[in-house]
Amino acid sequence: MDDVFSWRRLLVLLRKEFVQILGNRQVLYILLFPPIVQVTVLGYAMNPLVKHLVFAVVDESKTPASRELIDAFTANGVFVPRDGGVDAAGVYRAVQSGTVDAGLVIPGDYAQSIARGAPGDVQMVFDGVNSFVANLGAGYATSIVQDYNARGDLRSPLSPQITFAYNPGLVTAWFFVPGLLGAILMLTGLLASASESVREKDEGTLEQLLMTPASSLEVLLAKIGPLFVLFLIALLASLAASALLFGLPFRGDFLLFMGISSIYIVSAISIGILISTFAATQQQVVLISIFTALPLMMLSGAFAPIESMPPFWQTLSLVNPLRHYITIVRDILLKGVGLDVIWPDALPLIAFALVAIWISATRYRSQLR
Amino acid sequence: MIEPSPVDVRVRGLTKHYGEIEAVRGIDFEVHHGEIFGLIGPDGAGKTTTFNVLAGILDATAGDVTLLGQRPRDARTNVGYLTQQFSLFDDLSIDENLKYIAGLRDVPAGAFAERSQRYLALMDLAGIGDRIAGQLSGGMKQKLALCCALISEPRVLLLDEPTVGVDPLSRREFWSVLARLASNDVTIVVATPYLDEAERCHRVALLYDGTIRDLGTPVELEAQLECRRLEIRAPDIAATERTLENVHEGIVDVQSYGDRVDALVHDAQDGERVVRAALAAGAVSVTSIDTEAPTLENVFVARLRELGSSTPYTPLPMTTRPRAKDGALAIDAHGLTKQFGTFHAVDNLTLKVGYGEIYGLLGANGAGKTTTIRMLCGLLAPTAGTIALAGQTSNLRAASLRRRIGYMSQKFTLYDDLSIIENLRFYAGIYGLESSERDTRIAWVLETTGLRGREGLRTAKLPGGWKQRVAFGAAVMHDPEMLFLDEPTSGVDPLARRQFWRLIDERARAGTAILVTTHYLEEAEHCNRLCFMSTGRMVTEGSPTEIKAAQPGRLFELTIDAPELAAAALDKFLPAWRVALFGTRLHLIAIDEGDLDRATGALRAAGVTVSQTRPLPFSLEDAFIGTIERQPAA
Amino acid sequence: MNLRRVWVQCIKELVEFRRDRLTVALAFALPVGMLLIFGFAIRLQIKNILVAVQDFDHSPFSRDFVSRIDASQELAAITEPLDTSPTTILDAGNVRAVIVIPPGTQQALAAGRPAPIQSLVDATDVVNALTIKQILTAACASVSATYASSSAPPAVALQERIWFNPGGNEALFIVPGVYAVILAMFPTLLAAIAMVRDKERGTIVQAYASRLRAAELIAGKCLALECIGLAEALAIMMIGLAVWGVRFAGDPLPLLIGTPLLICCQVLLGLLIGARTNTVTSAIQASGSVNSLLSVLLSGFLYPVFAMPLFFQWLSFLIPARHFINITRDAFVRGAGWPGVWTEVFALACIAAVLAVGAWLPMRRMQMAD
Repeated sequence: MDDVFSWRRLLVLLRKEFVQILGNRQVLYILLFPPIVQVTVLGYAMNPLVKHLVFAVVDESKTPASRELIDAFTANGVFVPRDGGVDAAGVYRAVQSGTVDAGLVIPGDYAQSIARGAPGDVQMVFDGVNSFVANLGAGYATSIVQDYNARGDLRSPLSPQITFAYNPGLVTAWFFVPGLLGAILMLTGLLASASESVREKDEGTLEQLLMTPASSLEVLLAKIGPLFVLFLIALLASLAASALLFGLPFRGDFLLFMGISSIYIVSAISIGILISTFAATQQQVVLISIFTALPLMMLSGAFAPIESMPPFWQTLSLVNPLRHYITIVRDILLKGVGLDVIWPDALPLIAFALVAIWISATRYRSQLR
Repeated sequence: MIEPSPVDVRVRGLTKHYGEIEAVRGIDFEVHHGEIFGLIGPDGAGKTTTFNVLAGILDATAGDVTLLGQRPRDARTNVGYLTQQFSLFDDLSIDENLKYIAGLRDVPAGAFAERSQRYLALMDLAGIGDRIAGQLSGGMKQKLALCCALISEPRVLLLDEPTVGVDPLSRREFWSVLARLASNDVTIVVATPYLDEAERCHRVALLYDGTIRDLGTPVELEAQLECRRLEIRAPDIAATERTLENVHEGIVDVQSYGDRVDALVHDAQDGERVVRAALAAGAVSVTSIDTEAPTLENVFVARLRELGSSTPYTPLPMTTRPRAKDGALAIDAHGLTKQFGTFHAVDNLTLKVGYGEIYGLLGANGAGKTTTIRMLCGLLAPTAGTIALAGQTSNLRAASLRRRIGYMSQKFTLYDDLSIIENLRFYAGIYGLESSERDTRIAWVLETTGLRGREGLRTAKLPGGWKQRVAFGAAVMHDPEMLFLDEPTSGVDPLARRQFWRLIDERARAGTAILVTTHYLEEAEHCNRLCFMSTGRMVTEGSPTEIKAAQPGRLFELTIDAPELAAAALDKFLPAWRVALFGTRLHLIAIDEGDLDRATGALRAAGVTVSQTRPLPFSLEDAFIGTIERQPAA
Repeated sequence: MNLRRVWVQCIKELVEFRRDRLTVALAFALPVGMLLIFGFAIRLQIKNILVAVQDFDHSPFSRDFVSRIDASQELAAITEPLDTSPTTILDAGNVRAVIVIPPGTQQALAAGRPAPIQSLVDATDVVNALTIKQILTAACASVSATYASSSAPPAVALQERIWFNPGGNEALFIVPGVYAVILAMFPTLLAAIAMVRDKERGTIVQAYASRLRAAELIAGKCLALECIGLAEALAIMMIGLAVWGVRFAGDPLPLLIGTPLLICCQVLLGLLIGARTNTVTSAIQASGSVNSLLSVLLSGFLYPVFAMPLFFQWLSFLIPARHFINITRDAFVRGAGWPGVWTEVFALACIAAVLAVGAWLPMRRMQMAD
């Protein structure tokens, strides 16, 4: 049995890997710093909610009624008014050239129509170049007008009573942090493990290592060990930072979370090692890693909703470990649910990890032959 | 041979500090027009720093340096620089490399076409301009790098260890080209760890710890030593060496070279008397003792010993396990073949190494030596053939077998980001040494490498030669039964090389089977048996003495006064491998009876005075070059 | 500056690039793959979000209400058994909201009594949550006109029009943005490698030992990588045209000037990174993590810049992709031409100038560091 595995040799190998990683400040910096900083900075910066839309206004009516409508638009800070000149043509020009995001035209007969009891027609145009923003803006405008219509004694008896579950303060960072955690762990996990394991090949020490009694299994396990520990530390540190900065809750079971995260980290490292078996130099390794990590990140629901993707891509995303991990992290952190709810996502994640380890161990062994 | 020619390179009080470290501490020298000026010295003496300052790519801390009367930065157009190993762009073809360098150096298009043709022809690289540089052999790469350095027709050429890792044949050709360039008014400054090459320089400076310790022509330096060298031939070389080493009075230095032992003595007669007396006392028989002039290597070693650079020799502290002796083979390979595509890297090679034997594998770059070693130790599966290691024919990758093998490849096999002691602990642990054994053996490695007290240093900070020493220590620490050494001494200074070989000899005496490759033919004399490989096949096998005896023709040394004229004159009717120039001495291989007379006739006709002619025994290098050159082209 | 040396340097870079087959393949496969994924798969527009309805009322009103929700593009309603608690349904994670219509809602409406419709919304994804709220509110407003006893006509009728992309074809929004992100990422990566590789291998010494000036070295490398970047740009824009029909909407000139300018900025940034780092790996890490991330997130590619905290808005002015994204979106969607984008082209030129100096500074001595 000593020919295949020996704890003593594994310890010696692990010790070497730890000393190498801990001694290399640049690697430490790359492994620990970006997850923490990126999660916190992006938690602040990424905001899909539309605010401060600049819109040009032409009020041809110039009556108290029209001014009231404009006030309704600008009251909650979504729309920021800018003088649109004297006529509708000026507003259209401004939208056309892209200097404003939207334009509002209140016609001259607005007040008269309302006085007659007929609805006052107003017109709003949006710059649809960013169709996402335009649609959100149009939605806001509709609700503003609805609220405006429903004020006072005209209040409708039918009203939705909406309770926001899990994230009552509607903090966008609570949504993005789990996605970012998963995405960044995947990217740095791939890069670090791939370039760490190709480095021995690059520097020629692999040949020497292969001439020692160490088996490929021991070498592989020793490569995974320190990275695994470091990523767990990075994960916990980023979580702590987000809890501190954004009040991100941790409602579920800590051990379950750590267990799932360990499985996920191992699969990311395994993919990295698999990549290293295809590449000869560090440069190739990094390029292939980016090539692999990008689609995984984009098709995970971390940044763009999976429900909006065309059906083919939704199906494809089922084999993406990142997708399942993000779902589970959101479930555990925000919903506080347990294994009874997360198992449909946990099973594919575990299956993926097992397959990744198996393939990478086989490839790694055969490249040593 | 200082001629009254103008000074092309002038260095006054050159000093260079890197932070706390003083790499160069105030050196002065001048290089004259058309001179080949050699810089020799141990690893880390400051040679490369000096070159970088001369090339204008590094600012000196203090001192005054001029090339062709200009500051180094301003003189760059007229200076060619060939660095240790990084001169070429591996992804570019031969032509593209030349074109790029020519472009950087403003060579006019018309001149470029003519020069590239001329220099490529000179280096035997014509007609293969579209080969990718990264795929060339070591020797070809260095010749191409020289072409690149020459393409702008510089007046000063700076060469920093241009022939490290290059086989003897290519090295000899390389130096012939240098000699020809110098005679065409190119001034050359060159550093080399090969002291036989340094003999070909007009003047040599010995650099030690950032200062110049000796400067002069090789002959002057050798004379300064005030010693004579005794070449002692005896049936039992090892016994002779051991006996003489214990004589402390009257013998300066002893070094064995396979078939002979060299003893350095102050006076030839007294010395010979001391030697004969000592050997008689030890009951060791002697075949012959010849008196010769000391070599540059003697100067180098003696000088470094004086400066306290030598490290004590301590045998490996271990209870050597009993080895299977009685003719049992440690390594037994039969019909070994390795094919990469259609290319036969190794072709039907059969080789047997017994316990306690040192077996040398020699050949030009790309002859298949490294592939052979890789197959023998199980890193590479052979296409055909059988291998038995210590009698085991299957499962060559088993940990139990691995523990009995030591391996050191030509690349530095230490982890750069670990400290020396961490590296040693790692290899000790991986080979499963017990902790008590481990500590004594690590202490031994630190002792023999002279690194005690510096074990916490990161390996990356060590000069190349020192890394090799530690790597060697790491490879033998677990007392292997079989030791594979692939160019263990490449780029290591002569003093350290001697120590390597004492360790190797000692391991062999303890019963270890050793397979070694090297480009230093004088080292190969240590081997009990060796084989020459060419294009994957074994060409000759035997003991060094047998191989030398099997050489056709005779070797003559001619002492002459105008080496450049002589080389040009002999070029016309003798192939390059039969003529070699060592300063003012010319080695000539005569195959037919009339060869020597024809050669001296041609020399006289060219106006060269031959002051002395004497027959010499073939050296292993002559035998190697002759054997390889006589092979039909593949 | 000696133009012949610049040219020689440029040719050398191109030949080296061509020899490394894997890098060539990746240099083109990566952008194309990214374009395809973004162009086909990434949709920010909310669609088909599942909401569960527990209808205790079973009246014409409740069925009408549910069908109105279902009719919206954003939501799709499914019915859930009445005996499961809304929290459990939401916890299971299959739906994003649970809408409960209490018994007697229709009668209450007819009688003019307040009739609240309860809904529990999963607010993990805030955009989702707000959209659900909007649609519910709108559905209530429109249904109440039919069923409530007393309802007045609306005072204001809003006519909304979305210009330039009235069909809401999201590819038209995503694809020109991806052009900017791709051209911000890859030329930088390749440039950083091209610069640092010579340093790592030590071959840069050959350039140091010749009379090549730092400006010539940088100009040569920049020229070579500009060509590669333009080839990438051409490739992805041709694919964009062929696959999604993304074609010029107006004057192409700002784009024709802006594209080389952007690539120039990004290449110079890569050279700067390469000049400041010592190994290929750290150069790639720097250009990969810092540049790519900033270009994706601060360019306004996915989420609008003006919604970010003020600091990031200011920071985004330094990101070339932010300026270029406005140029591509104008060229392919809006078509306003110079009046709308001359400031962006000007900003790119300024950034390029600053980066050129930045890349030149660390190399200017053309000597080894101590």
